[in-house]
Amino acid sequence: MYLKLLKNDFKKNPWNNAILFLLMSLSVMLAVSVCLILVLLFTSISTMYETAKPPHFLQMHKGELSQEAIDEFNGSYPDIVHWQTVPMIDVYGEELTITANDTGNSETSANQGKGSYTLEDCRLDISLVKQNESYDVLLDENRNKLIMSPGKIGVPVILLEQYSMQKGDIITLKSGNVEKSFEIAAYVYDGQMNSTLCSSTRFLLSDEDFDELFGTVGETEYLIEAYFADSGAAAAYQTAYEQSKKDLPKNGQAVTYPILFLLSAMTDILTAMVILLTGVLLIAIALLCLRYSILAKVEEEQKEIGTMKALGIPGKGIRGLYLGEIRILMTAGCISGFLLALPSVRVLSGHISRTFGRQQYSLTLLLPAVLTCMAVYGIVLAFSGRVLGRLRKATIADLLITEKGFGRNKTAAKDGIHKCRMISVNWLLGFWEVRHGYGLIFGLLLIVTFLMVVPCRMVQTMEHEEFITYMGSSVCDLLLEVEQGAGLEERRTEAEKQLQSERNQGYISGFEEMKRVRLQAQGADKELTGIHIDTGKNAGKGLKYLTGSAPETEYEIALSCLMAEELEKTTGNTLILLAEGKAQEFLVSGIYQDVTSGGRTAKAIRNFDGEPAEQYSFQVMLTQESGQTAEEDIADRLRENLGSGYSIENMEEFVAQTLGGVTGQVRQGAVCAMLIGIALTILIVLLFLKLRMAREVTALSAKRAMGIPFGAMVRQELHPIMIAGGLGALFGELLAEYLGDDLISLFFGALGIGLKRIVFAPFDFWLLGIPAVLLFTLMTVCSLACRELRQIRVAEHCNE
Amino acid sequence: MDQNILEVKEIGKSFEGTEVLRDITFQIEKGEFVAVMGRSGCGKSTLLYSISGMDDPTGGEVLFEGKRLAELPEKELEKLRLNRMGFIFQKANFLKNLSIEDNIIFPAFQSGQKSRQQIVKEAEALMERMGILSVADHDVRKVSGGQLQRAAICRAMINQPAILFGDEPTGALNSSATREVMDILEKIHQDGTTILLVTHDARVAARADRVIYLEDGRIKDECLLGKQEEKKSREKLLMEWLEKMGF
Repeated sequence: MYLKLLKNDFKKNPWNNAILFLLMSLSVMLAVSVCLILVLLFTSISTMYETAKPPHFLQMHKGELSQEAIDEFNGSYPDIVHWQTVPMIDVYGEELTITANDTGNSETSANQGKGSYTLEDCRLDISLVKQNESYDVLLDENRNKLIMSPGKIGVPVILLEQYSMQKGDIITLKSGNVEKSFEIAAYVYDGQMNSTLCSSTRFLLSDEDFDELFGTVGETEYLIEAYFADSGAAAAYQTAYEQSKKDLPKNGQAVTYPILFLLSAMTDILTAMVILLTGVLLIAIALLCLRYSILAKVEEEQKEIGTMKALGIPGKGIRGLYLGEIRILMTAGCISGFLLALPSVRVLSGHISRTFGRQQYSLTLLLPAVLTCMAVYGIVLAFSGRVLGRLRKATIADLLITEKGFGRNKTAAKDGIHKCRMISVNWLLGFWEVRHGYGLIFGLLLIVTFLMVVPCRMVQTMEHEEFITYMGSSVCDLLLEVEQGAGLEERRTEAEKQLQSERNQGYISGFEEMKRVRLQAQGADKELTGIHIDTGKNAGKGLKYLTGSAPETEYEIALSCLMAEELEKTTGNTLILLAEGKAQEFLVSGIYQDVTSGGRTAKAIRNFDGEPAEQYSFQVMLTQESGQTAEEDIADRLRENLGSGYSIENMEEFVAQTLGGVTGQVRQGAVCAMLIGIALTILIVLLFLKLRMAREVTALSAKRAMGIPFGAMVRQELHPIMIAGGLGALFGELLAEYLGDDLISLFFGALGIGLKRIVFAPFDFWLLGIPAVLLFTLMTVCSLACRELRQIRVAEHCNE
Repeated sequence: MDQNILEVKEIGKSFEGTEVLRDITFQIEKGEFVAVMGRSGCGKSTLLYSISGMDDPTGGEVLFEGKRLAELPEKELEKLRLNRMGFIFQKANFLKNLSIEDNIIFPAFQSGQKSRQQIVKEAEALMERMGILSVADHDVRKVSGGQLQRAAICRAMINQPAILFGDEPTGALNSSATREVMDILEKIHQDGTTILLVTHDARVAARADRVIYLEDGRIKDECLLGKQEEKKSREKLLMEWLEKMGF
């Protein structure tokens, strides 16, 4: 019977039902997509980790090390199940030249475009490694252990976004007197260094080639890795490792499993977040439409409903008639939405399979999606049941005698058009009409504007030069880093000399030197924790502070929020640092956000002269006359004059390389959100006008009979829609502006990566283009739909 | 100068092959009050809409103030309906978001021929005359059917039309409200407005100068009631005639 009812209703209101079906399908599709992406992401990472076995604790170290000390420490540590030290050969990007294969099988990338190119502009530290036995294994796309034969090389898959390296291309290593060529034989799927958010990446060589090159080229770096029965034990191990009196290697970053996992998943989590936002808002729109449609239908059928009530049919039975139709529509929506989600997830999860290898759909993968589908079904039905609750409240007299219907008593405007001198009648009518039944348009534009603006603002913020401040660095034009390794002090002196020369020649206006030291800090429980401190007279200036401000005196220190949490310190607390052989007391001047180095950093003015530097960096400011080209020229000149051992990048490039992949994914999501937003606006405005015209046909006929000009009638329809839509867009924009960053901050805060509060980049006027496009769409659709007013046959409706 | 405000010449109207009106010819003089009667489904309302420019007849022609309606573009027809014709329906069909007064003045504002003050002044004079000034700022859902229909007459009269068309204007009213509305229409007629209304109520039709009887889409006959003052005798005359028509 319900099917028959729906069939008849479909014949009567094909548009209405088709749009509702579409909205339900889209809602289910997005909800299922988010679920599948997240499940796929975590399953892919977990499956990859099963074979790749990335370390639970990782300490990078440059220089000599004592394996005995490590073995001794690990041997006595209770929870450890395995440990290993992985040697790596660090080479500079400019030492690696890629040459396209002569056979033409390989493409040469457009960005290189000259047949051969080096990796000098690669921001990541490049390491050559050999395959490990069974832990921290490098994989192929099918998650099998990769074995390279001599002369072959595996290139990290994450570099393919920046460089078009094809299998068969030749990589030539030229370092000192050594020159050796390798043929690209595979793409490496790396369990731990698989994101541009990491600082390093690994190229895989055969054991023979590695042994040949080890100690003769580049610099030696070690990965000291530890595994536990429970990966959660890594944090305690890290503390023990750092506090150990043994001479354990610590010259480099230390990372634990959760951070590795998070950095791996970050890009795709952000994609899922944008889709989730779209999905939630789409469900909200679908519910709004459903409510509007149900109310329109029951209002239209109030006499029939009244008669059924008069005949003694219980409210539940009448409600069941309407719910039955929605059930069928929703079931069809769930099936089609689910089926649509499968191919779209394939597209949206491209990055996941590119990074973590292919993952096939399985029952366990699909089960959460089915549950999500059922949850959306449940939400829609519960909501519909609630809306239909008003069937119970209306009395037979309301429906049949007074025809008061189900709605609240709306009152007409008392201070009407006869009192208003300033505004035209059509606009006035628009203002009054808008209070009655235009909530859908207001809600639609509010939600769609929010949906479109927030991802755009996120992309704009991530691309803005100030985003660097979330990475623990202040804004400057060029960033020169003296990389870790032998001859650090000499290279620092050389860099300073070069910069002074640039300043003398008027190319740069100045530079700030920053020295990074690694000290021990005493937490609230008196335990010591390793801390990376950037020191310099302007350290901490220009960062985004959650509380407090940058250090002003030699005895102040600013902490990153993750570090502050770990040490249980807040602004105004004192912090004991073990530096230069003694405990020194510092005042915490502020807490800032930092996503680099695992977010565990600090800033101080004090130089800690007695402590060896871990790294040096120079923040370079150009003169006002220098433009973009000069920036590139200066960077190129510095690269040429300084040679290897330095990383020189302009800020935009630095941010682009670090976050390029993430921003790209968010941008892709933003474009999807825009397309969905515009499509939704068109569909729902059409639905709204169709229903409104059907409902108001008598009043519209009366207007036609009175001779109200067609143009005026169109304006009378257009104005309330534009007013409601305009207000919705305005509030949507304001909401996005004031709540958008809070929403994103909430999300990042929950991830625990050192970002707690993101503030959108300054407002750009092009962002007003979003509501403008929406309002233009609204106006166009409305004007086109209003053509139907001409079709109204007065004779048929005036005496209905 | 032509005395006829409306000339209907051999018009016909069919819907999907079914002829609803056939060969209808009649004229209405300026200042005349004509009623059209007939059984349900005889084509009364179709005739009204076909001759008032709201629907196109499928044959014949309609001349309003000498202009062939079929030849007029939609914009001209709109102008005619707005400024030279007035309409009253069985249901008032008011805009729910406007008060009674705003509904009345709405067509005058759309016409744009008078100033705001003038429109408001005239609307209030009309409402006073119809006895509804006290409910001017009321919601359309909160007044009686009779008051609403009187307001509909005010709306129809606000642009001082040359002719007033009524489609069962008292069809939904009780007898006292019907009497009130017809008294008003009679006054309007006495002031010189031409009226053509469709009704199935003999007492309503008895107020007209002339009654046209429609049967199966054709004019069967006409009854001239003239200008007799005595209401009772007019009603008696009409009833006898209607009996002859088989009503």
